[in-house]
Amino acid sequence: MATFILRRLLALIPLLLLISFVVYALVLIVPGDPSYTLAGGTKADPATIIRIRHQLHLDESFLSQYWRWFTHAIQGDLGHPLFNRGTVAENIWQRFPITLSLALGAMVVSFLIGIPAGILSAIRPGTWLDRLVTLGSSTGIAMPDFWVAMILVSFFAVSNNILPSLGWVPISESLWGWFEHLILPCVALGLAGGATLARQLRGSLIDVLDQDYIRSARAMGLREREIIGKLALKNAAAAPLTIAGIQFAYLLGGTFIIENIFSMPGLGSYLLSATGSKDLPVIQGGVLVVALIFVLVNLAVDIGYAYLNPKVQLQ
Amino acid sequence: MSLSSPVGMPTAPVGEHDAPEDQLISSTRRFWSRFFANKVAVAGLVFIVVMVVVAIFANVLAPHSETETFSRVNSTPYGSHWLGTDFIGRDILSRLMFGARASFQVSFQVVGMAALAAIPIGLIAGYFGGRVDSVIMRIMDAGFAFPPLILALVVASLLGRGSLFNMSIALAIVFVPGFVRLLRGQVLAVREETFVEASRSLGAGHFRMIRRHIFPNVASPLIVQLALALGYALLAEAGLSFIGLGVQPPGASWGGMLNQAYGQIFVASWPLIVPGVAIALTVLSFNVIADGLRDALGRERFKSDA
Amino acid sequence: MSADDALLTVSGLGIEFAGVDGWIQVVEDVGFSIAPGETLGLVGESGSGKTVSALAVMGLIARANGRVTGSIRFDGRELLELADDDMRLVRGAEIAMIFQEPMTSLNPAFTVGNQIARAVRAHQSVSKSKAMARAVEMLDLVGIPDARRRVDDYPHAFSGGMRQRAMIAMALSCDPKLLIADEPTTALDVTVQAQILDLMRSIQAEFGTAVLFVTHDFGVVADICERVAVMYAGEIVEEAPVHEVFVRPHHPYSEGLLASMPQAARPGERLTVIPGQVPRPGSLPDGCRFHPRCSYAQPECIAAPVPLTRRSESGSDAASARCVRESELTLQGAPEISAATAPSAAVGAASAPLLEVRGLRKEFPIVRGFLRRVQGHVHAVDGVDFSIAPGETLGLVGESGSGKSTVARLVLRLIEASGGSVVFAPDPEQAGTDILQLGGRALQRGRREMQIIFQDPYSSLDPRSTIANAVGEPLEIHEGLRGKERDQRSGDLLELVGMGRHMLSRYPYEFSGGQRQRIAVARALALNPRLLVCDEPVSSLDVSTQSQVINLLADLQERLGLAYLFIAHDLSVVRHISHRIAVMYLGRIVEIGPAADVAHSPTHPYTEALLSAIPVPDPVRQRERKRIVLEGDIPSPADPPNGCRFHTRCPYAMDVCALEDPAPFETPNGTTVWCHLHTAGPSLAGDTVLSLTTTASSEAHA
Repeated sequence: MATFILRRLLALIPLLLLISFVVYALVLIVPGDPSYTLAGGTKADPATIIRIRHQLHLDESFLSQYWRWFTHAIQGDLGHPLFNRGTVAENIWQRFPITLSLALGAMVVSFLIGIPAGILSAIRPGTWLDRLVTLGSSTGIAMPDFWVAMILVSFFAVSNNILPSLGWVPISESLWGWFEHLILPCVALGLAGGATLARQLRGSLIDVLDQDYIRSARAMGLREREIIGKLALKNAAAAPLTIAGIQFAYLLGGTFIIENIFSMPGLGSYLLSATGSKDLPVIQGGVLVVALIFVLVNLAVDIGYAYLNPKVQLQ
Repeated sequence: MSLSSPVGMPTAPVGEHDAPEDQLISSTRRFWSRFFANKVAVAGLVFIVVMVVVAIFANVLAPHSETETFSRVNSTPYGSHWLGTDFIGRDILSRLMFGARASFQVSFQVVGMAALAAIPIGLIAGYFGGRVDSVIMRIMDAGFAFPPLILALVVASLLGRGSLFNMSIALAIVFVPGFVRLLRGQVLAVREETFVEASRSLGAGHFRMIRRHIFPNVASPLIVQLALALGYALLAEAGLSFIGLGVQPPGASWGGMLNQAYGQIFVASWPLIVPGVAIALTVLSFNVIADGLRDALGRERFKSDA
Repeated sequence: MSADDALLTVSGLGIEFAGVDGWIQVVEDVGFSIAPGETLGLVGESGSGKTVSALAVMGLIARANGRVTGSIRFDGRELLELADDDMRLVRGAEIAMIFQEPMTSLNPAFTVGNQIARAVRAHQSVSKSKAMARAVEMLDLVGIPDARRRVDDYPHAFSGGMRQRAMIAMALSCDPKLLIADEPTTALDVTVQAQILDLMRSIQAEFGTAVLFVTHDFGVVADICERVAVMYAGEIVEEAPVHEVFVRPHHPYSEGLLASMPQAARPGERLTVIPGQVPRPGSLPDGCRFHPRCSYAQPECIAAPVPLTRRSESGSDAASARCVRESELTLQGAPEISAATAPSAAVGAASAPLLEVRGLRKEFPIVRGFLRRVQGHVHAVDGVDFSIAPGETLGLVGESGSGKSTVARLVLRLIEASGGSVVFAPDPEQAGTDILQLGGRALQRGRREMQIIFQDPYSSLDPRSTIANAVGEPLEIHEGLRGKERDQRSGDLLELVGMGRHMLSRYPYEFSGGQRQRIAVARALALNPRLLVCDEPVSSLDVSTQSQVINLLADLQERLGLAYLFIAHDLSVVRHISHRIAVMYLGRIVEIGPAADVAHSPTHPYTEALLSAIPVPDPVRQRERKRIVLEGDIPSPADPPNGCRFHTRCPYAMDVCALEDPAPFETPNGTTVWCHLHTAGPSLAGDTVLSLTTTASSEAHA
């Protein structure tokens, strides 16, 4: 197992290099002269253009720009925003806990919905319960999360005033406040994930329950509860686990609309406003961080996968 | 039936006796009869066809213009306004019909462009394997490392926020790695099938092999995936429109309509409902079509290795 | 036996499955009984309903899509009336079952010990460590070496034979009174099959467990069963003590099955076939279900369903058959095992060889560890020499891991060789060319007259190509034929293999396994090859279909002068069709010579063991004959033993065997053998050859 993990870690090095390169190459898709466009295009004043050109070293060759940025980035220095004070790294660091809370909360919601629904429909395929779950999950996947969020706000915050509709309270200030502000956005974000998880788990559980080794377990007179809860669930967990890992990573980068709706000052809304002002250092820094987390989550999923399927470790 | 007849003698008609039940369906007739047996999938297909027709002929079919304002604002249905009016009194049904254009244009463009790019890449990576495959797949892994929506947001913003086509390009880029990975996995599985080896022993070249044997056998899961992707693309389009990319006001898009309705959330909830239901129904339709296709094309014989 | 003495009495068993248009009856009026300690063989081809009947006894037919009617009495209780939870307590504790596929029957995500311990704890309230100790004890009992350590291994670390042993260990862990074995040896190599059968026999002797042995193989039945019930199309057609069925069957289907075994036929003659194929449930013929395939059928057979008539009721002699003409027909039992010589070994021996393989090698690198460096090589094929004359059949026999299929692919250059030469001379007037040296176009031309058919008829035809496209593909590629012209030729080819040209527009899924194999043959013949490589062409087919395909190959050889490289794990099939036989073990040929000599007087201990492991379809002789049961599994080709590769399992191994590679030795009747017994020390050589030859041949003939 140790070699397996070490090998995966080493394999990350070229991947991270490639990712950083892609991230920095974003500057290449800015149309026209980047310093002019980033400074605001037609509204740009010459001083800003010169400042940006200088700040981003846009007069150097692309590769030397990249190398400078990369060597700084691996030391944690992601540069300065074009239009605000502070450093990009500081800003990201401050906002990250909010996005992380949202993503984790959404994952919890997904699991709470997806696992029971998936198991229930898999053990009784074709029944009304199974159909209900299938229909529900199809619908859950089809609804945009931000629309669900707005409907929830409209019902719980506007019409009934049960939960707060806006803002964010740090966990250090008030645990309840933190929790209360997370409920609606997390439910909105986690619903689609739960639906996907239910579908996936149902599919792989049904496949597993059809396997010879489950028939062997039945032939030995094991209890159904043990067969499903202990055996089949471990066999079937691999695919949903992969999906859940990917979802978590997507959530970390996909909360910006929800953060925007709930006026939460997270990483997502920071990035969103940076794309509005074409603040390239912020965009690059933010995307790099998100991609990095994504890669690490995937690594964790791979390790979990190897635990579930001992044969993988050999390969 | 007649396996025993001596060599050279014509035999009685074949039976289907041993055919495994998960055999791929091979004739279009059987495919459609299976697809049409699935009522839900057919309903989805009908819904999509109607919506596409409505989008194309919105200027003829819509009861009002996209921008004309009426006196009652934020209204539930009344009179000729079957779906009510929005915050400045525009007809919601008409805006929904015009907004469908952006949604369908983007989702078909995205899936079309992504498939066009991904099909050759995936076939080459899976079929030739080795170093070509490693290089392609490492690049795809890097592509995978970016959460799709944020990558699309960044690319579309940097390219220019006001253009639907820029949004399509950005989303297409996001979809490519997924298609490539799926296709490659399928190709890897098919490549191991004996019939591929059999063809090779008969002297079939690479081009013939891919065109005649590999592609037809990986097409079904790809088609299913494309149908699903149409739904996802439409969802993504709505999200990006919601935050102001793509169609600019006063033009209509479903995401934009939701954004405007959210501004009125303390005043009226009706304008919030309609575009959301439209999005959900459309995406749901794409998904049930995908399910129907999957069933009609036969249980997926070749599972991906991913 | 009266119903009271029986441990299990099944009567009037009916099983239906939910189909698209309602319930389909797959088993009807099945009855049999098993006394304590007795072994009953339930025999039939695929689709006969034998496995489903066994599953019904276990209560493993899901109620959602299956209906079971009739009566299953076990140890004084009616199982069909038990509640689910009570039935669960019977499963495993009183009736246990092992399955055909040892590779998939154990859960890959749990250790072997964990799975056995779970089974124990499902029925006995013992601690986890007690259950684990029981697992070790059971693994030890079924002959897993070093059981204490292996108990913590995951199934993927076990070989196929060891997994089946582990399954048996699990099944017996709660001392069941009845063990149901569903084709437990079908997926195993023949030497491993012999081990497992031995194990089952000794366990039965020790614990007195009754066994319901489900199989398609009459050889295995002869070996292990006391009574037999033959199933056909969902019914029992005959039930009788094993000797009676083999000597004088009372149903034409039993007669046909016995006659179509390749062991039964004289080499060079056509195998007996049962025409047609098993009907599908839901579209069964009227009257006797076997009548469309029966050579004794008369109008009365079609008139009404035939009841099972009893000849004898008493105990273990109970005998019955389902045939209206039972009393008037005298049916043939298993034919004498022929010791006659194989087809003339002289075929083309004088002429120049069509194919000459020298020093053929294939190594697959093993990449392992942290840096993915090449850590060694699997020596899949390690210096193989043979030649094939025009019109000759060379049988290549070996168990899994022997490298025989790799040889097939190397000869056709479907994979690249690591060394050696493959000289192919389709034109006797011209010198041959080394296939391994050709490139591009030249290779394509060189390969034209050499074709292959594969083992699995289900995956060797593209499911998305019509038969016309499949058979016509070589014509398109090499002769540029298109459209009508191509289909004309493809139609001719289909007729050549006994199928109609109207089948051209169909798709592979419309055909049965045997029919697909014919189509594959037609495709291989499209370019008029001189050599056909047959890689296990019949091993996935039913007995009766298998003989149809073998006969076809023999006919085609006669008509077209084809040469075959016929690869199989089943020596009895190879013995029937080959002029010469080569036996492979761990990447090397250990013995090659005329078919009659190799099959009847083997000169290599491995060949001897292989022959000895094939059950003879005669219960008396099978039980009397001395058998050599090899120990252990074939070693890994990644780390083959030094010296003679067989020495680790060889019952005659000497010191020299572990040290030196044996040199080839040619016996007087033209067999070449690689074995130190023949060469090490003049005193040994003569004796051993003689004694080996006599003991082994007296075995095979006995």
